[in-house]
Amino acid sequence: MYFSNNKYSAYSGWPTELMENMIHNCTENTSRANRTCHLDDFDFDSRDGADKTVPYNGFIPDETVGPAVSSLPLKHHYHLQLVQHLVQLEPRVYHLLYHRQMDVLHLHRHLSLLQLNRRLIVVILQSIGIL
Amino acid sequence: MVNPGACSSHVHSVYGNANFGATITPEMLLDDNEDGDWRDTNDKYNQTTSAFIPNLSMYWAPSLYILWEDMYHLVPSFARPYYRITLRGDGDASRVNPYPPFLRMIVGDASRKTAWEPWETDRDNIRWTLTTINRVDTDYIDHGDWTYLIDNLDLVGQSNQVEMKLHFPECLAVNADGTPITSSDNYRDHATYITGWDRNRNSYCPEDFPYQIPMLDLEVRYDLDHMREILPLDVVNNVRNWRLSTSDDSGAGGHADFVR
Repeated sequence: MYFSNNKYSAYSGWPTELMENMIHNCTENTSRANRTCHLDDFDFDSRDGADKTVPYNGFIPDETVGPAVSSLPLKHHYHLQLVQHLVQLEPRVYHLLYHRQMDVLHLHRHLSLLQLNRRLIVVILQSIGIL
Repeated sequence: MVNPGACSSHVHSVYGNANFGATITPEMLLDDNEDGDWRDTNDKYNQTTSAFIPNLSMYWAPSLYILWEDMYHLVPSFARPYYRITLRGDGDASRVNPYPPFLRMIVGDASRKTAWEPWETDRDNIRWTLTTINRVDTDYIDHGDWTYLIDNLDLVGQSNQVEMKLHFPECLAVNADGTPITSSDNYRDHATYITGWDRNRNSYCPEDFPYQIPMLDLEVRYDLDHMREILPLDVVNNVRNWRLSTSDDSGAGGHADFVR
């Protein structure tokens, strides 16, 4: 996904203008000969001491967080353990699995309604032999 | 990134942009200043932990613990991101591009929990060093886990920090219109390391990944000296007591995530 939208391309993360300047004009954090490196305008040690702390009082996203899942590639027996764990956590998953004659899209939509992580849904579908 | 909207399976230490959450969105990376002027650092000190305020990127890596008396003790850490550019001798940087917005990359294998075997050379460029004591003498093939540190505990005892040094890829795949691809399902397939100089194509990057960007060289430093103040020296210096948050006791599971 590439953002051609100016809002993102101009401001996000590393400023594009700054990185372009670094590529063409900087060496070892300072200006190449006869060039102007923007890094020269900034203090790299501006956060010495207590100023290095960012207070945890900023915006906190009001987000729904699902159950902990492994980010690791799961082997088959882990799939089964995960499903068993999910069934314990979420009775509605058991209900869906019991009625496994439903088609993939139908089941996928129901799992999505439970706000489960997309990877978890894939794992569930794989573990019961649908994917 | 791997499990958006869910809790990760392991604890991470997060550096850089402070707008962190269970799901990472492009909006989180935006400059808080309404004028959007990246030079304006006023009121931006709380948007990032970076010492270089205009850098609003995010970096995160597994936390390191020391196991002692059945308790895991968190080792404080910080990170130093370096951006290095691979150039020909003539210094011509015209082939190198800035990072595309919302570029996402992961290096390393979080599932790895055993030391690398000698024949396992096809892997990401990640190594463990004792910073200035041995950084120049290390490489990712022979120092990609803690085996050599276990064999040199006397050296570990001399070091203030242990460093996980991660080289990120510097070549991106492109769309049909030539724009760079900024992510992929596994956050890896859209990027690759440089190969060698191709004089026919005038490029360091392979044909399938033609978009060259600066290499992110991320140093994650874990503060052993701090731990020596609160735990017995022989416990801290014994690498066998170290655990990555993935429960890896080999160091081979070192990894990191990056979002521009």
